[in-house]
Amino acid sequence: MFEELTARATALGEARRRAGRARLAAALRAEAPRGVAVGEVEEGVRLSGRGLLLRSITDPALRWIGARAA
Amino acid sequence: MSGAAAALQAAALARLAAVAGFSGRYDVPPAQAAYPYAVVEAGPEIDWGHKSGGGSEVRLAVIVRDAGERSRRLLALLDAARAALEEGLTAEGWQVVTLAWHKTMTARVGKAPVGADTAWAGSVEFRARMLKT
Repeated sequence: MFEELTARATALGEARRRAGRARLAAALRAEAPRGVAVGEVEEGVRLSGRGLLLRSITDPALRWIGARAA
Repeated sequence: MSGAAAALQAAALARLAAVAGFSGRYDVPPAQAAYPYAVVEAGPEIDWGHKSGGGSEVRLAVIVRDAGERSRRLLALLDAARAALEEGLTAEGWQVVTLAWHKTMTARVGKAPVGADTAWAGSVEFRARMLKT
């Protein structure tokens, strides 16, 4: 009975989720320090690069990146 | 850095002065310092005010650098720093409403040459919510 409505709501929700993920990724890309790549994955956004754990401790640009984008 | 962040950083540095084991406590990474030492850094700040008063949400990090065969001393110092800051921190001109622990991380800094101590880095991070007094 509500299949069409459900499908439309699902599609709208999915589009909104993708848009939010893209906005977050763009904000993180703008702040990501050199050598850090920001990619969109199904679960959200992924940061990748060499020595990220150590850099997230010692490099303020990386340590606060999530806090700034939030 | 704003008043809230500066006040919080100063309060944290003063509190860490009472924590034994550090060779020094700094507000910026020192050019030269003996291990183990701590650096207190205030990070991004966002509005946490209300209609009749100012407020700030500030991120705070204590970064500890150490050297040794293992990271045991580093972990103990991070725990001691966390405990010291969580014990009713007060900042001049501000009421620290909450100081919530966010995360603790440790990592080895490169690979030590044979016979040399391994260098370690660790951090303990907080989110502070403060109201102007």
